[in-house]
Amino acid sequence: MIRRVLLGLRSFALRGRIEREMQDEMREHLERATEQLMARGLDRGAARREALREFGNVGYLQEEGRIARGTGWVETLVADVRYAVRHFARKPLSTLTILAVLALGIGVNSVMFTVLHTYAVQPPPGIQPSESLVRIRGSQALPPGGRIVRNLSLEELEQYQRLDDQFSWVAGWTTQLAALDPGNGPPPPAVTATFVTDEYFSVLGVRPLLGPGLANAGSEGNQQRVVLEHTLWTRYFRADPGTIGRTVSINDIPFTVVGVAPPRFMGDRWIGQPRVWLPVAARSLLVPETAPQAEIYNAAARLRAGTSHESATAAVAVIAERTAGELEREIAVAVDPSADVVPLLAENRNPQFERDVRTVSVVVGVIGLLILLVTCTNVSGLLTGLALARRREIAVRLSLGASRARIFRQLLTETATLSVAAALGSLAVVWLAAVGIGRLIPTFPIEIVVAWPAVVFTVGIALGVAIVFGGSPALHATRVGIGSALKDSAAALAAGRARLQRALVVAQIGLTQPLAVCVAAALLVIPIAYQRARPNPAGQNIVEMTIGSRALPQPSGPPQSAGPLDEIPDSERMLARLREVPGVVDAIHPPGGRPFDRQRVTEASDGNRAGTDPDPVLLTGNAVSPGYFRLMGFPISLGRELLPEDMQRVPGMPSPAVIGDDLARRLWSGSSPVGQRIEAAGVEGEAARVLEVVGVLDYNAVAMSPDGENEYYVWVPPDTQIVDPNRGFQLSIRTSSAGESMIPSLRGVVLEEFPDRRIVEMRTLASIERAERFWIVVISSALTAAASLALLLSALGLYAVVAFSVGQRRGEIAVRLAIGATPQQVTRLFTSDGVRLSLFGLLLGLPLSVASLGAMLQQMDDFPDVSLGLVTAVAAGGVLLVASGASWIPARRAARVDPAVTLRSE
Amino acid sequence: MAPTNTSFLTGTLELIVLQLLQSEPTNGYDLTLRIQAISNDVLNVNAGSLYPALYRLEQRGLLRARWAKSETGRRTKVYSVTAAGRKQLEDQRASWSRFAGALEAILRVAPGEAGRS
Repeated sequence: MIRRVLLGLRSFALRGRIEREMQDEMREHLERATEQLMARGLDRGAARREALREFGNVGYLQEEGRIARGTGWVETLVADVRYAVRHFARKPLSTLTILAVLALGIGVNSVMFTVLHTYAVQPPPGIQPSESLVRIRGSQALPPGGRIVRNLSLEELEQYQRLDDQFSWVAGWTTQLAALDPGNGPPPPAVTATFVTDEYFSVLGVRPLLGPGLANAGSEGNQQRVVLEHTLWTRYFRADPGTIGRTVSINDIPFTVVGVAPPRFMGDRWIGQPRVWLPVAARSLLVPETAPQAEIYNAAARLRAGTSHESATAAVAVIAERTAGELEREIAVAVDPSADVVPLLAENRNPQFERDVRTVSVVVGVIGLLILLVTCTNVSGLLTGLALARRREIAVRLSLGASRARIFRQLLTETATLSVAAALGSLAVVWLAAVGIGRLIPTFPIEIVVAWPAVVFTVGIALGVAIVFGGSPALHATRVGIGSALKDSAAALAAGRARLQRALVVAQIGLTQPLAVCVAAALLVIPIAYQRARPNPAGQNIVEMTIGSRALPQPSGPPQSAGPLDEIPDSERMLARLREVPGVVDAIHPPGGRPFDRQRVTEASDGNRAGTDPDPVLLTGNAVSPGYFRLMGFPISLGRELLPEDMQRVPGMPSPAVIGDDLARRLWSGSSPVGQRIEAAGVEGEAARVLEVVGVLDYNAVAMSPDGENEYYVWVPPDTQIVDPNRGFQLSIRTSSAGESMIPSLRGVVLEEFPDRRIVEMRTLASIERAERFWIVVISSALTAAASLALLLSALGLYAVVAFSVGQRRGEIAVRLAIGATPQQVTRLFTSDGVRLSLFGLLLGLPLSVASLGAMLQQMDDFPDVSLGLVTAVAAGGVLLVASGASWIPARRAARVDPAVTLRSE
Repeated sequence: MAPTNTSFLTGTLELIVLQLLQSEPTNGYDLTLRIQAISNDVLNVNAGSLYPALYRLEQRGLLRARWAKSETGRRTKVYSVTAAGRKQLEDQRASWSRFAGALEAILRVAPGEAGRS
């Protein structure tokens, strides 16, 4: 069968030549026959006539020849397609609507599933998917209830490497921000230095594009070797193959380039900074020696053949509990440490990943399903309408002798032509969103892998529906008696078909509403994201500086010493020195860490409302340093901010705290909170925490807010922590002029006066926030674009379906006008009919709206505090507006036409 | 004997064409003449049957066609049998022999003999 089709297509493609040859051959045959007859004594004319008579009808023979070659069906198909194109060209608006609806519906859906697929199923870019490639993922409890990522200690990693019965290879790596100077121009921004064990590239199955790579990295010998990420190589080394063997400096220490990673490979992540890979032994050159218990490693492994994730998880969990548990008892940091073995995916470092994927899948699934349903009802509505309008044409052709099969085949060809065009359009949408964006913006940091199964599935469903609905009216139309179809006027079209069309209109409205509701709900999340990323107005005048750690030979003994940040001697000297630089207003250590997280307020002094409040108030403490609020330009509306003397915690005394004005209103509405105390329950086993309010922050100025409704931030001195005197630190510097212009002089001061220290990164707060906002902008514009497309699609489809069905009733409108109705009455009648139909559809769609909204909300923690009834009402109102507009406009147009003209043409 | 164009020809034309072309590749016109000559004018295949048959066989890959110069210097399309065609010829010959043998046996039956056995 396939062979026949291919041969037919081949003959069709060569049809010009074959046709010529056939004619030549027959001409030659006739010549010979004529000569033969002349040899028997006939004259030329008679011989020719006799030869022709013997030969038979040349044209008929040629047709027989074509049939014999099997090109007949191809010719018919081409003719049908040509006819279809002409037919659609005559109805450009309906055609374009169907095309747009199908292409956008399929395209948007495929893109959504593609992004989901990349996020949820794909390994990180540049890594071949493989059953045996796994991540060994450490985790620990995060009260209340959740789990967060826990890196692995070297001891733990080594024990995993000894699990020969589970893993054939185990690789470990740890990362550190570092400054790479390629030595041939301006230094690139900070890179993520990834220190990897020997097995790293073999486990991930990645070979360097150039150079030998880090093979045998763990052996004795030169550890100062580096593999560069492909983007770094193209951007800073002009993709020069001679880069191998060159020397670059990382935190001012020379390294030899021994490899360039293949394009797209960026380690175990999907998104991130440019990377360089170094042998794990080189870490001590850049970072002070770390205790083997320090939990800094990530791990990936290859499972042995026949080993399951479950058995490997059981094996690693035992080790994690034992080794990390020991550490937990020693320094009381990790809670309930564990580990599991999961496929290596781009973003599944976090133990919450599986839950997040479920959330995203439900949201994408609900919206995707609705889009698909709306697309399908839409297209079927339009195609049913289009086919209805052609009953007369079909009847005429039947009466002229065309066979039913022939007409059915031709109508099917038309629908298929339209569908194929739409499929191509949708593929263009997929390409643009998934592949094109990477081509157009080469630095776009996401690698999207097109989910072809999802694309094929959506294309298949939508096209199947199109063909069924395009074909079914065709089948019906060809079954009707010719006479009745010819007699029929358009106004009295088969009632069954009109009912089908009205049912489709109702279905369309019923499905558009939940889609609009869900899309509106998804869009409501965007302002929250923007609110969180609100830039600091003073960002241009704040310089953030990351100072690298000092890698000095360590004296014996553990490298840790207890004490707050200011015990790093360099950092205090540097702060003091930077404050003297002209143009610097102030310099501080930016605060870091959270001394406590979501602790419940059990008591608040004076006007205690905590006890009577039905909802518990949860506090999260952010560590803050003296001068922080002034430097950041956050206004303290009442009291003062934290002072240097507040940093020393006195046992038994309450901890000074700055609170937001929102919490002040909640706990002490009206009266001044300064001097009041709050008691917050500790996590189990911990003593209660008492805070004394020293100042109130104007909360609107702070560009961050906690997740939950009853949660509040408070700002407190940092807890005492383990600090290495040689570790890196951060500085925030407030400048009087633009920070960007101060960077060179600040850099000069640090480089000259602190030769042991390296500047890892120096940027203005504004530029850091810009980079963070980039993601919010990318994600929310993608979401907005998809949502707007979905809404446009459904509005367009809804309009077309309703308008078409009203347009079909022109005859009825004319009759009403002819028997004395005024145009206004007719318009009103049809509009109210449309509105009634819409209301019916909205009512039917309501349960679906509620169900899909519920499914989505159940998965979204931080949904804004708006009335969902309002969202539903607005969405329903929008749908109603479009539907009534679509009834009103064509009805008014039809009512304006002279009924005599309409009725004559019917 | 008058030329025959009976239904015997149906179904056997392919066999005839393949057999004759296997012994000697030739063009359509000469093929009609050869059929006539070899069958002593019993079989007269007209162009209307021959050419569609040739195209069908070519389309099925049993014949190959190429353009050549004839002895008279004319450009002419010469058909020859492909390997697949030879295989097909073998099969058809075998089934024709069976059919002919069976027919022969039936025609030898004397009147009344069938009822007695």
